Amino acid sequence: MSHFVQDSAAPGRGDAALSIEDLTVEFRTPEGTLRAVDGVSYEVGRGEVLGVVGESGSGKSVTAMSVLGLLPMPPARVRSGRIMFEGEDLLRVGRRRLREIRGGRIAMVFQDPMTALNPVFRVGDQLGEAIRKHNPDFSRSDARRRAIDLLEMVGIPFPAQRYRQYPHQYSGGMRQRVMIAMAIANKPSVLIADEPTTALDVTIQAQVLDVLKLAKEETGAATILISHDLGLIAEMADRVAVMYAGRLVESAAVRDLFAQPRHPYTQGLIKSVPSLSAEIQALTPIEGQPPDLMHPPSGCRFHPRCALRQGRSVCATDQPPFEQIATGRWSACHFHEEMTGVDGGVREREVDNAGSGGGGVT
Amino acid sequence: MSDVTAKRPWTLARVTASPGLRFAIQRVGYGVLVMLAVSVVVFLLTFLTGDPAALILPPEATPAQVEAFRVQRGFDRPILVQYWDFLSGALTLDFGRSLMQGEDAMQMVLARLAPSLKLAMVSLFASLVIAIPLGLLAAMKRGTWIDQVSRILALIGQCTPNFYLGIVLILVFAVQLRLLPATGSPTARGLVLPAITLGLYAAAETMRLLRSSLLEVFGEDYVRTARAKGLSERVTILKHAMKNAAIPVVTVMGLQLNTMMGRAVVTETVFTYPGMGMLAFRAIANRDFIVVQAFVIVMAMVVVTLNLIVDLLYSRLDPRIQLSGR
Repeated sequence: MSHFVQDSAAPGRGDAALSIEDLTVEFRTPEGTLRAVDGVSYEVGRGEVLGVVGESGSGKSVTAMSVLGLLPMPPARVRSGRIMFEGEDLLRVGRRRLREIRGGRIAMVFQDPMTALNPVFRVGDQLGEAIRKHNPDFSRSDARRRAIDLLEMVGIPFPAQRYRQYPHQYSGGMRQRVMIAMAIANKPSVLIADEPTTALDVTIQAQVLDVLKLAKEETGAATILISHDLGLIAEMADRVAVMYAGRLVESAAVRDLFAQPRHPYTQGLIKSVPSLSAEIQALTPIEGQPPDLMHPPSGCRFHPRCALRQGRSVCATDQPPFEQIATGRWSACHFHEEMTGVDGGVREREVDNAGSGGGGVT
Repeated sequence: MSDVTAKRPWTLARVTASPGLRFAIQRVGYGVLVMLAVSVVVFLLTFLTGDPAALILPPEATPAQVEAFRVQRGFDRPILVQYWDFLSGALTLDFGRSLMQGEDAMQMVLARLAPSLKLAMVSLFASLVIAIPLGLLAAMKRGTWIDQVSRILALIGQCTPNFYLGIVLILVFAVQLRLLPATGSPTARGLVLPAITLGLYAAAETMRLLRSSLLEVFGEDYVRTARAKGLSERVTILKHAMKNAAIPVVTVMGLQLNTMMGRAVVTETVFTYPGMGMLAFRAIANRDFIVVQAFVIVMAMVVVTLNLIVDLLYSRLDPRIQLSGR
């Protein structure tokens, strides 16, 4: 199914903790088949934070859910690809092995902490359950002690008392702390955080982000941070993969990406972040609407909204290959060379602004 | 960060010092009001069924005999006085003597309470034994033939009148196969057919509710969290999904017990099961309104008590409904 030839697998640094190769995921709907992820490849290296950026519906969450096999099937179906982790293809391992990996070797933090915890069980028991599942030799009191330590680590005050409480007695920010504690409970080697701060109040986002950083330091896990918040990505990520309409459009080290994007969609994303600089400017949105994945645009999926296209027909007819354009840089644009000029990118000063304006991460 | 999100309505229960006690007092208060209302309705309705003297005395009784009967039984007094008499009697569980058997009406009803409760409990148990596996299976195999078949069975179960079902079961299992007795009794063998008759309707309802409730819960984020923790499907479904899906089921089970007590009148009569229902049926047929009054009051007490138990159980299942502040 791949539209590009790429022997050296996905963009990454090489020492991959997890690598997704040519993943294609479809959803069967009453209106027809929708391809949510189309030939996506990326890797995350040990100790690295990979930011995955894109609009809603760009396939970034679906890709992450596929890693742990958490997509509801049906309607979802993995059409092709491999997800390599410690020498195994997660798309083909047995259920038992997958359960060992879930929450053990690979853990996930979800978007909405308000609904991610089970309302009818005590928070501590839910945490303890995750611990005991992967440490069968732990006694109940061992698990309890570890759970209380974890609650304390993620900044829950009075952890011993909080252990006994139910999720509705926790605020949203505290619930997300619990989810992070649950994710790092078994020292995973890969941590996936899917929009971990999106559902939280802005004032809480910064605190939760600090906990996430702490969690990463504590475990040394390779982290996949999924977000549409460029500020968060700029703050946290080492490397960034940009997705659009189910495909990767660009991948680069975070500094390179913000300093000089090599895909017009990335450029549009960066420009659309509100700036806190002195001069008051109107926001620069990306023109047009996000694509309808039931009927995706031909050729380059971004071409109907692209500022760089300037009417060239190849954009509407040929899908641009996702190819390496420089060391550590990949782009899927027919005309990425045209973006090497100074005007193509944004200056360093604005990157910092994007950081403070986008997500309140200071 | 605050302990509790103030906008959540269920934290209201924390405002009072001892919400558990307050809840209990409130519920008992409701119960008293319900019983009072029931007593008025029962008293007036039984009065509307006709002149008791005309029922009891033989047709050839002289007007003097009728009058003497009325005075003797107190039916000549003003209605409010009679109601007060009835109410104060009811408070001491004294409704007077049966017009037919002449025994104490309350004793007659209470003697039959235990067999009736036994039948209701066994029926409820039977309904759960049928409904839980079927509902679980239907939800897990959603859209397959298993789901379709169990839904059709549920529909049939809900559409079949229980007197008809009772007669069919007697014909098949007692008359044809000779496996079980045709008449019910509060013994293991004697309970099977009446319990199935009474339990099937509830089973159908519970099964449908459990199925839809589970399907809703399967889509919840916390079920995904359970899977993401590495829990097996068995633990995910039977522990994490089931406890949440059980909340609406328990609510409905309380209602089912109430209607079951009512439906028992017909079922007990079909099986000549020695419960309150059959007693009530006979009393109604004989216009023995004293016994009917005692029966209705006992029923009302049973229903009020069952509702209280369900409310308590409900709060055990769903910690968001706090009765006692921790």
